[in-house]
Amino acid sequence: MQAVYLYGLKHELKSMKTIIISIVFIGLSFLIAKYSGSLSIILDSNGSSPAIQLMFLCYAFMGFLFSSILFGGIVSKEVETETLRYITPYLSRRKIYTAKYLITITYFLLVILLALIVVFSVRGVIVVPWRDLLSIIVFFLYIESVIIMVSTISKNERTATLVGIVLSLLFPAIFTVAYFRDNIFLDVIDWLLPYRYLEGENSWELLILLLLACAAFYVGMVIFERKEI
Amino acid sequence: MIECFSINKSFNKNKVLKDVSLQVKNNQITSLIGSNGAGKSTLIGVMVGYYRIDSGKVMKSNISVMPDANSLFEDFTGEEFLNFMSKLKKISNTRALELADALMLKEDLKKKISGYSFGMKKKISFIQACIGNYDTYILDEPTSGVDEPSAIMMLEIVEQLKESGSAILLTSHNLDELERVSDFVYIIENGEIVSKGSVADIISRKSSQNNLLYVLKSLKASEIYRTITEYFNIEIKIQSKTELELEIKNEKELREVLSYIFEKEYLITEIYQKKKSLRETVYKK
Repeated sequence: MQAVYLYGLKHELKSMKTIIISIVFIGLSFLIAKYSGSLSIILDSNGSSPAIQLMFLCYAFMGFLFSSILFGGIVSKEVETETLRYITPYLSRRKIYTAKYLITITYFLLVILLALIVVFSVRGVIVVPWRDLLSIIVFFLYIESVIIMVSTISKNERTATLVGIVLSLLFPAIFTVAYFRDNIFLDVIDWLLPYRYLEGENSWELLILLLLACAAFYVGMVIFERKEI
Repeated sequence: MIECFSINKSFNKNKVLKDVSLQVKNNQITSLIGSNGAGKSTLIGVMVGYYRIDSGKVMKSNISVMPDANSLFEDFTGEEFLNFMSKLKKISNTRALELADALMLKEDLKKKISGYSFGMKKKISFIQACIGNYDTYILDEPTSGVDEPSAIMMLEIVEQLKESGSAILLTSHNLDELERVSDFVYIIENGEIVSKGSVADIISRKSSQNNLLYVLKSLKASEIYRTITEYFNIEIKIQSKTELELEIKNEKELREVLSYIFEKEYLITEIYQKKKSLRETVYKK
């Protein structure tokens, strides 16, 4: 599993797409740190840092879209090109799936870490808003479990990327409509989407998001185990 | 060892494997022969776990496999790929580099696989299959597209794996090659095993159903050809100015033909029965 994880991570980090998207994320963190002077970085009474919270909110909305572009093919491409045939005789499908999931999570953890370093460097102060940090990490655990599940279900990379992009636009649209309109159906769907948990007042609600992430991960893994390659 | 019991497999209601049973035994090279679309790759896919079976059972231990060379990781260099496979199999890359050297691929390991020729891809796919200690090795057309010296080396490596106690399953369209190395052969057609046995068994079984082939050499080969075709109803092929190939039903007919030739006072320099090859046995109708 280590081989699949390390080699896969190395190849993802070296790709042009990853470099460009990383520059976008880090550039955004720089701009927020430098030009949102009215937003304090210091932790407020809720333990949040307004500047970092804004940055994480932007990451949340962009993250789904960019994840689809970066990792839409993480499973589907290998099934399409049949390169998985070199791996499945020697490693269980569960471990392969887990390794690929960890690649996607590692990337975003690295991006978040770099972004925080940029913000702290520009503002000249180090504060760690643990609640916001935990929210964004769980958010990406959810997003990546959905992305990798879509990649597993899709026949090819192009379809997986397209479906991911559509979902990345649909999810926040549904969240926004549900926020402003009273509709029980939309409210139920809203509980399944990750955005309501980003600013949740209750920390326990993050557990729900974590459970949803685990469920999506499990469903994707079961599909992958049964998939013919 | 791999044992398959009554394997059935369909793709979209199209049955590609029909009640297939076979064994790949340790210390043996087992070959699987069949034309394109016969079901060889599907059977391998079922054994390795690429496909689910509709019914039947596959019993196996650990397997190392050489998949299609067109499915390689194109972004990797040869060396990266071998290092990756060695790490995946939890072994050092020493053996992989040795085999790369033996197959004259060492100079190209720094290049990306996307730039490799078909033969080079075959070699690197073969190398990754042969490293590590496995009960069974499955090699799908290992020598096709490969230069002759490397093909000979690859078969030597396969023999070494056999000597080490492993089971080997080979597929190839080069039946001359399979005839040399195989201990046991399965012939598959339209998803069914139609024949099995050692090479000698298969040839002798088919030969008893078919006519005997004789090679006749004479300086007057063309005249003998004209004479025999006028008088006898047998198949004769002119192989060269001095060589004919005769298809005879039985020894009685052979005696009649030879008597006739001697009556006409033609001088025969050589006559012998031609041993049928595996290729002729399998593909001649």
